[in-house]
Amino acid sequence: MKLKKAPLLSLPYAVFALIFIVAPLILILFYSITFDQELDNGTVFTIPAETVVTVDGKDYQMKEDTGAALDGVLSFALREGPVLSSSAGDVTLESAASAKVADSTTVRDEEIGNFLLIRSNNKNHAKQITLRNFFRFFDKNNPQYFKTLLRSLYLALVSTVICLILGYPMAFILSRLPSRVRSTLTFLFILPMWMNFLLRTYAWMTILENTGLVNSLLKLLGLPTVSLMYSQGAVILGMVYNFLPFMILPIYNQLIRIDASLINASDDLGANKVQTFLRVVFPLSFPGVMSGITMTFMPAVTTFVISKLLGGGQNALIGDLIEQQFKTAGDWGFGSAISVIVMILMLLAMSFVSRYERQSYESGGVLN
Amino acid sequence: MSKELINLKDIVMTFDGEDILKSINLTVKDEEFLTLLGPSGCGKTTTLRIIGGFLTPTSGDVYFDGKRINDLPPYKRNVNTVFQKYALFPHLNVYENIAFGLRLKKVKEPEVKARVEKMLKMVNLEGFEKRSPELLSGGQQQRVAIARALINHPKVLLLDEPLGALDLKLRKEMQLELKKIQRQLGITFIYVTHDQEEALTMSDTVVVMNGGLIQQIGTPQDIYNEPANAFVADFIGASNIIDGVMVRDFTVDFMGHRFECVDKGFAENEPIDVVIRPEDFKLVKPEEGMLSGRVESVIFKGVHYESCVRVGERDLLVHSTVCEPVGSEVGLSVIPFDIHIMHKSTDPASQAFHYDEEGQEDET
Repeated sequence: MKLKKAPLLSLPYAVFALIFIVAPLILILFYSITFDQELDNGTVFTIPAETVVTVDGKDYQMKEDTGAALDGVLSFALREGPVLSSSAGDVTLESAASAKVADSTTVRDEEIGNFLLIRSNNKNHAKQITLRNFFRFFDKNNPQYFKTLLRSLYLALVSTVICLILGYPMAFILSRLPSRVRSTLTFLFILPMWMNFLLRTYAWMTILENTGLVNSLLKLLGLPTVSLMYSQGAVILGMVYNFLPFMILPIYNQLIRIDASLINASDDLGANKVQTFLRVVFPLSFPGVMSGITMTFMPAVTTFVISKLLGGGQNALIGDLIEQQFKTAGDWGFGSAISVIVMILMLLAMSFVSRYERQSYESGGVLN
Repeated sequence: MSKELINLKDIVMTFDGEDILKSINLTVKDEEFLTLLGPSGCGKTTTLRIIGGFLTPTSGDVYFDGKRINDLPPYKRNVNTVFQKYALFPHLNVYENIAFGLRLKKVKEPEVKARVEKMLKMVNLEGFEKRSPELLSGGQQQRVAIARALINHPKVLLLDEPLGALDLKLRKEMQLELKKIQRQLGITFIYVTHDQEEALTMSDTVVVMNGGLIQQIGTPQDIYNEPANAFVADFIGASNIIDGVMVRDFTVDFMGHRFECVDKGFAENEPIDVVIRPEDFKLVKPEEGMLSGRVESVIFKGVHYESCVRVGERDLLVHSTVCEPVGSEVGLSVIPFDIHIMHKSTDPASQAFHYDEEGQEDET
């Protein structure tokens, strides 16, 4: 096909991508490297002498390191420069706290020289471009954030492995059934996905609760009740339950695409059923397995609903941490930084997976 | 070559209440090139799959070297198959595809290497070891499939329309090459095709099938020159099949004329089918011909002209290097040896072959 009109045709997609993918991404990246310094009134911070102060397009050089107290008015001694009576506009202080100012004035003191007086609008905030959000995440003295990430990865890994162990045989059996039974069963697998994700997880709460279905049954049988909720086990259960279809479907799709003649050929060349599975069926279904792992692992790492509802506070995952930064702590910068870290991790995982996929078999699974 | 290797005894195969094979009896000799020939749906592939072990016959027995092997799974049979669409493993390269059978037998690497290389040499694919089969042309894939099937030294190689996907020139080359490989290795080939020319070119024995029944077994010459019934005559090559009456031995009436022929042993005045091949008619002057008619159409076919001559109510197909213009009156002559007489049959499967066009009409 000649693609002369392709740029025009892809324009709607480009606009879509810009609005829904690129813009939020840039916003998150921007937030992740900004730091909202909440300064108390009277906090003294040093503005180094190299700092150039720009007022209405004019640059001013500081005379020396200036200790400035933040109480609504910043004052700097300037090396030289014109004396302005009064001017309102944007002032940027490079490499130091930047502030949106209401108005600025330069005055001349006979003894010291020129002075710049800045009256800040939002005197309690000073936005900084910095990597400290990232450093904070990996802070050795405060390892709780990093530990949360490790816990997320661990729980996601465990549930992905369980999904694979449960999902592969299910997909295999499914692919071997007569087509009428097959479509019915596939339908049943997809059916729970029509229900809201939250609802499904709440349903598990009512099953696992101390007064829930399981414990009611145990009580009925005269057995001691067990505490099932708010444990890592409950979180893993929730993940496996919610993400199992995402493991089964790509594997199943790959398995039914395997040409029956390949299995006949393997049979014909002397392979018994086990050998045929190990040497032909499994390698050919491998892209599906990789897709399944990606589609299970990714959402499992970032989920925050499951851990919140079934795991309680002590099993918070990285998703919870991000949510908390945005909603409770109000630290968008740190929240964004964590998101960026998770995104980078996912990208690494994806590139690893796609390389594997390409090596194993050209035409891939669902995720390509 | 005389030793019997495979015996099919009264094989019946039924799928969903439909008889695909109705009582097949067939003997395959050692080192023979046997072709199962017939239109699609005639049961030839089913027969092959029964020999390969992929299907178990509904009734009847399969004997291999005197032993009954009905229930022996494919991987235990000393038979290998070249599949219709090659069925090469896409996740393995050419080398590993060919080595597949040896790897299963846990053959040591140096021997694997030697045998694979020998196979590659035989099929002219040296240097292609590392390629993915998906990057090969149809003909090359075909060669890999043959090498893969032959590396286990099977006693019998089954080939299921292996050349169907190749273009004409390549197909002709591969026909000769397959025949060469078969002679070189001295093993039995059972070959399935719907291409009559392919069957005649390659085979020692041709088995013509239709409607789940064997219509005729014989050498290519037998099949071509002495077709057993109208179906075989028609399927093997375009033929003129004409209703006639066998007056007595060596004398037959058809198209309002009396002809001398070489057949005997029919009842007196028995209605029969007369087969005359298009190339056996000779175009002569109207007054010299045994039959005379008018040329309805002429098509140039390369080696010959295919003329359609209307004689009375019938159109006769004539292949000749002579081209008579459309509309001209011509005479047709035929020598007694080329007039083939066949019994009329009541079995629909042995009637002249016509492609079923009803399905297409239904759609309109």
